Amino acid sequence: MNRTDRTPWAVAGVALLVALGLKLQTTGPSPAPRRAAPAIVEESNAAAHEPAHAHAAMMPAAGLDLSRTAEFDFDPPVAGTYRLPVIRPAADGAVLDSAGSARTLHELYAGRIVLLSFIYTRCTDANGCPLATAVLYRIFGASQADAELAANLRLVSLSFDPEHDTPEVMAGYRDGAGPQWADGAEWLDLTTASEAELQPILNDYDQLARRRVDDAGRPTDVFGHQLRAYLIDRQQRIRNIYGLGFMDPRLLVADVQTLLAEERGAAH
Amino acid sequence: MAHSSFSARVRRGAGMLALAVSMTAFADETCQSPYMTPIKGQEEFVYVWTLGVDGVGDESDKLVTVDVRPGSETYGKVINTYSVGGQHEAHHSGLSDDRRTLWAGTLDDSQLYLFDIASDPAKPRLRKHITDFVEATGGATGPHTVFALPGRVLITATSNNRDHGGRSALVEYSNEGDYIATHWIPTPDNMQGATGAEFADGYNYDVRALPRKNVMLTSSWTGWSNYMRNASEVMSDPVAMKRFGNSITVWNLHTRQPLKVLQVPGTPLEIRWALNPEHNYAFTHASLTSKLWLVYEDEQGEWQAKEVATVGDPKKPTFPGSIMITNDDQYLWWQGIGDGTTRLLDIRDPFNPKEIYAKRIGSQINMGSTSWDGKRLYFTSSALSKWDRNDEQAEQFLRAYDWDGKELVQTFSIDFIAEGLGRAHQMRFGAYSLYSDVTTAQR
Repeated sequence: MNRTDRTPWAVAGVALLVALGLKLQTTGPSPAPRRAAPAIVEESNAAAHEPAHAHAAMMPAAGLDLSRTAEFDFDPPVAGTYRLPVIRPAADGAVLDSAGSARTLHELYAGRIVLLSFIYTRCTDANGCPLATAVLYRIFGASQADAELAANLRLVSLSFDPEHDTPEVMAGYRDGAGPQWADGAEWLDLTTASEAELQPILNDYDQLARRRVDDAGRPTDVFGHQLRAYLIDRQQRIRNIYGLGFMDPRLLVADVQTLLAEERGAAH
Repeated sequence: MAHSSFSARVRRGAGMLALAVSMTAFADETCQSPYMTPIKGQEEFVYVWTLGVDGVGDESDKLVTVDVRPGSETYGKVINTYSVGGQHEAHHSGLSDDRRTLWAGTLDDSQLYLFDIASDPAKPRLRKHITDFVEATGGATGPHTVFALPGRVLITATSNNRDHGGRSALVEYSNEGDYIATHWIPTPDNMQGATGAEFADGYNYDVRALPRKNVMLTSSWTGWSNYMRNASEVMSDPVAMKRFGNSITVWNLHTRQPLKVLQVPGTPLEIRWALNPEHNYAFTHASLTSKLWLVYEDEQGEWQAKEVATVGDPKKPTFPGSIMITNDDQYLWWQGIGDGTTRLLDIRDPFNPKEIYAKRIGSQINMGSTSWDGKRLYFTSSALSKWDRNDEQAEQFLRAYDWDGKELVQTFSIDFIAEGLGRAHQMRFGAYSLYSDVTTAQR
């Protein structure tokens, strides 16, 4: 054992009571430490890691209910008044659209701010895909009343169950095309051709999705997965990641609008 | 399996939205991030982040894995160690939201070790070693609490590379270990829009969030020039004793913007939010005064802080190092570094806690961890290499207990010196059950 003081806590008692009676201060030179101090490093410009942003607050999206709920008992932040640092580049990957055409993620992200959600259509997990889809649906509804959202946002649902979720299944995921999807943000329903093409995407997005096995070790139709959605900017960088407890449509829309405000600020 | 129509799927999801947060809030080991995968049943392993000691084993900091599976041949035994080489002041650790990575930090030289605990929970292996924390963060040092958010972690730093005092920052890293952002704790010259400049010391220690209210709290400790100095020297140095934190900062969780700085004298350390979805309050313990404080939302929706109890004999401060809250918000465990005693407080009236039980665990205890069901508790001994007692009663251990609601009964004890390990500090739980029932190409 190190041969230092014997009972520091016993010594401390009286000393502390006296010290706390003194006026507390938090500045001033430090006493010389016994160990050599760490090498002084010039403060890096942490702000350089964050893109410039506009300070102009934005009006809430039309058509979005901003009311508090028991689950999200707070007023949403005002879009454009905070930063969304870059987390990492959004990975590319080979996918199939609902018409069965081979596409890439980057091709489908191009030109829009994207909200990406990983799902599988047979999910019955209370805190999983139905929740994620419901949130995207509310955002879509808001975009139908907000032309700026509709013009700049793209919603993407990507299945991690390519065996079942073929392009035909994904085409029917939202009950097919129809007038109910008019006038809002574009919403793409994607899958992949195989597990081999899916796994690199899941790995790159750190999206956990694992087929469960039954008591006999046989694969089931159920996936264990972690609810995640990703906000991707027009430079195809991930700017936020949402999970359970964050899946508040008001927060996601505020973040989309914050990116729009940032773009305006950069443009000026 | 029949497929639901989209409208039915949306209705189900919308309904589940109402349940999601409350279900998550009840489903962790009571004090972890609510975004983190929970162990609802039996924990299988305890990971103890351990400080190296001269003359003990390899003398290096290490991650120690203890088997706590009932009926296991190695129950209560160390089954694995992973030494990182050298003494860096290993201190606290934390889990990613998917619970696949255990982040372990060091206070002296600001290292971060990312352990893979999913591939084989019984044998954690180092996945990544971050050595440029200070440079990447813009001068924050001493990574302490690691708090899981979706896809990333929040890390509280405890000092800085300019004056080595307590002014520091919150730092974000991705789950992959890439730096994202630094958020400096407010100071009078940098309040960032927050109120309470008269209390803003800029110090840091713990971070905990209440997603339902979009709020997080940070507490305040001291800096490298104190925590890497012998305790008796610090405590007999009036100048050094002025360099302890006295604040709690309230933040907007989503935007990471500080809202308000509250005065909480006596160096508030750990923060523990109540778990009931109708309880908008958190406890913190002032380590220098042995007082329990409540941070709560008042009737006007403002966050306030109030001293609610003195724990132990006020003339003999217990110097609490950790607190744990039970999953029903009814009780709180309090661990005293100074007297080696754990105490149980009835907190059903959070404004009037009452001590109802106490048990001396050892000559010194610091950390405590409880299972989700509250039936098993674990305690370790070490606070800091230069603050631990070093007299004839000094000991370093992990001790486990069963709690039946009336009495703590020891189930095993590991002497970390006799076992050649070091100073036992932060504990985190692991389990095969989190990962073992599925196959995946990701493993």
